[in-house]
Amino acid sequence: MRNTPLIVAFLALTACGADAENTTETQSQSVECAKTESDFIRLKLAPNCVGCHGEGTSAPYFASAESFEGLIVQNPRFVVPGDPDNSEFVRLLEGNGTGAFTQMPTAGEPYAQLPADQQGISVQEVRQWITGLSVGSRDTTPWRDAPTTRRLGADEFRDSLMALLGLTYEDDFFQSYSSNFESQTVVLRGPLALRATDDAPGLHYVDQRSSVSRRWAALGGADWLNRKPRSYDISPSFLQTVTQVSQAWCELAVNKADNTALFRDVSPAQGSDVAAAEIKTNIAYLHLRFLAMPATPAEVDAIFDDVFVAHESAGPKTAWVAVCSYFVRHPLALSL
Amino acid sequence: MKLDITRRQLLGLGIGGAQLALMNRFGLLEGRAHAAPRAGAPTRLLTLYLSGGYAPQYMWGGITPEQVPSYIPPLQGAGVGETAFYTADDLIEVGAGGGGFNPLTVARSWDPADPGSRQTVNGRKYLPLGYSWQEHDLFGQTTVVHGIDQGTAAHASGYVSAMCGVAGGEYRSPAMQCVVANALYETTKDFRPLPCVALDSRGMPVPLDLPSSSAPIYVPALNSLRESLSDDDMQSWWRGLNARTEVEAKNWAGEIDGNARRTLLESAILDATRGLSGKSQSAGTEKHLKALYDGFSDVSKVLARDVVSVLNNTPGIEFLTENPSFGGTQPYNMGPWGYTYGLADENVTSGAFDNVFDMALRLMKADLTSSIHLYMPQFYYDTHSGQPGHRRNYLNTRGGLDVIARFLGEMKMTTVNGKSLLDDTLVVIFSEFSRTWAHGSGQDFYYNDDHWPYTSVTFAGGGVAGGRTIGGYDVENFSLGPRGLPVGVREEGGEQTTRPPRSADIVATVCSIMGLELNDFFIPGGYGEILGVRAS
Repeated sequence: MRNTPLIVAFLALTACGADAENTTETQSQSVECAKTESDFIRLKLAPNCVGCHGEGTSAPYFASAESFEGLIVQNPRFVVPGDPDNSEFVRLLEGNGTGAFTQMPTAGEPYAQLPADQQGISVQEVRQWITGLSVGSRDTTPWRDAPTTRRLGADEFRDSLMALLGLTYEDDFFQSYSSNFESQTVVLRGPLALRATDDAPGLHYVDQRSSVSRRWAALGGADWLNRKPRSYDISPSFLQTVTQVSQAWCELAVNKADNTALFRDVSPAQGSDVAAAEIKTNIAYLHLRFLAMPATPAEVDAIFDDVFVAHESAGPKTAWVAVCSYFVRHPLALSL
Repeated sequence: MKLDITRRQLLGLGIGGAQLALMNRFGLLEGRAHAAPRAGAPTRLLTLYLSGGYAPQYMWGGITPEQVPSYIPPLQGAGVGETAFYTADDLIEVGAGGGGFNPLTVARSWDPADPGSRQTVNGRKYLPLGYSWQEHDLFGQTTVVHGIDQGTAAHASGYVSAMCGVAGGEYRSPAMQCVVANALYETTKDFRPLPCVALDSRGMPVPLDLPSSSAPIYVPALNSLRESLSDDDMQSWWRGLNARTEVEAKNWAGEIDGNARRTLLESAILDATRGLSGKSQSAGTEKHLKALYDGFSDVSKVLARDVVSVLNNTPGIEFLTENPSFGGTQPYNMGPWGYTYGLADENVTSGAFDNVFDMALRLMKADLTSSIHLYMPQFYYDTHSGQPGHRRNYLNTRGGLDVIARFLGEMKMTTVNGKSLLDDTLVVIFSEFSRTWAHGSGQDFYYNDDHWPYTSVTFAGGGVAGGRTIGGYDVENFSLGPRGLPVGVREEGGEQTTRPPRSADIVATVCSIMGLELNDFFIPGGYGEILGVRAS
């Protein structure tokens, strides 16, 4: 239920739009008209607030009707429709804020204790306005076009790929050797190895340190020690790295002995001339394993023809590297 | 409540990612994805970032000669090396100004009769650093804007502010490098496979919701390019998978969009991706899939172009001499990108810049990219040490800018597509903020050396009305450091105002020089083009 006096005042203010037609241009420009009831509140509070919260400031809540609507009215952190007692906006005006700032204005008396002639509108009227706001006044309809998917982060890509391909750091990326200074040194040497830049020490990977860090950055990996959060941007660097890593790691996995993660139904050395059915069965298995979706027979046939057979002239293992890379780079495997 | 919201009205908003999505929802940002720049504008952007907060007044002034004695410390240090700081007589005009704007000024620290001299004359030891701007005749193509409010004195926030025009912990609008790369993409995509490049993984420009083609590609040193940009047989995982054939390329909508040289595997993956089009009810998911499709198409283009071979066969330095021609005797000779000062107590060797400058030159000379961001790897300007800090900042601000001038000299002497590389490239030199200023009189000086949110940005090269100083520093009511003087601004709505410049105005000015209209992009909180920087 809207507050009647407020509506009357709001209507009086908005009437300036009609009046403006009968005024000179200069006069009409000097009058700022409330566009909505909330804007009426903004304009009344503005003289005390716009100095710090106007256009060009870092927190321009009062810069425009839209700023106020978007940053205050529609922000549950500040305004709880129908509930002024639990609205931080009111608390700030009354000097009872619960956040970093306990009152507005920040210096001197809080707004509620300013002399009446310095208040454009009373806090009681602000309370009435919030009481009159209903939840329904917000556009709460789900946004149909909101992004609901994202690509894998660097750590997710690394961890999932290692698991899907049956690779481990210990078996496939670390190598140990004796050195003059330490009895045993472990070095990260695998092809296009991935490791977070700020992973805990205890591992010597100086041979590849700069390239590992560079690769990690290209994937958008976090580097918390340098205050760099992870990125989910579908950047060219991410896709370039995914392209290279997919083929390098698939080559490693295809050539790994007894790798049942990739080969459940066929040996990687068998070609389509002797094991076409088994190869298709294995493609269906990989489809489910990588994309979490069963493949239709037509989809299996297409991958068999367009990817496996198309690359088989270089040998069945090369054909499997192609199939494996196809799945790693598939959008369903790269997205959450 | 449905808002009758307009793009113009939203200028007052200081928005975050959620609000940016809201603007997309209202279709307010759609235009910028397709904006094409004006004809005649430079076709490359090169941004050079000096990290830590430098001291631009020690090179470019930004104050009057009368103010120098109060804000530039007295000459000192001749006994241990080159003299630091300068006098009012040293602040000389080196540009023509024009158009009602003040001439460009520079603090001359070198001996005008013998620029390479490091001799001591009348108790002052000359410092050649800075002379390279004159050596390569760059002042006429250089304009400096002073007194820019970054809106923050925090490093990370200042960097974001400098890159996108809004201070904060995260980007609220795309980095200017990405905006420019995006705008130039349509007209350059057939010959520039790397639209936006970052030469250092620190501080990568953030594209936010711009198309993936405008996102920065991290291009490290030449010797490590192969693993990301090559499909040759040197890498075993490409053997048997790198044969390319000419095929019809389709865009996301399935329309034929020219030809492309693709591998069978790339074609299969692109077909599989496009096969998912229309399967989701969410436009956001559709956009995500399209980004993957476009991105993989671009990766294919880069690999097909054999960028690594192109870069390997393109020279970096062609014209610069091994050491600056005016360099004189040791120890100034530190290679094409090196410098030293004092009794070699500090120096920056050429090796500090070799990789990034060499790669930047190759990328531009091979015409592979529209936008390069170079996070300068050499000196961290965040000195925080009082008088020694100011001295180091004086010397290294000049040193860093001197090396940059040599780099610009090489660009100026290089011809690409019948035009000087420098004439076709807008160069922007900036930092996240500056330092609190030293101040005092005579020998009685205070050396505050902390972060200060007002800074200067140097524009050079193509599209710049050179030889000018725009704005300045207001030292009235001086407290720790000065504020910016008002400058003329063409606001986003087209009206002209006069006010102190902000970082958003720098971003808008860059975009404007690159040929974008002010409505082709959007920066929350308001912005305008600073008048006098762009050549008319």
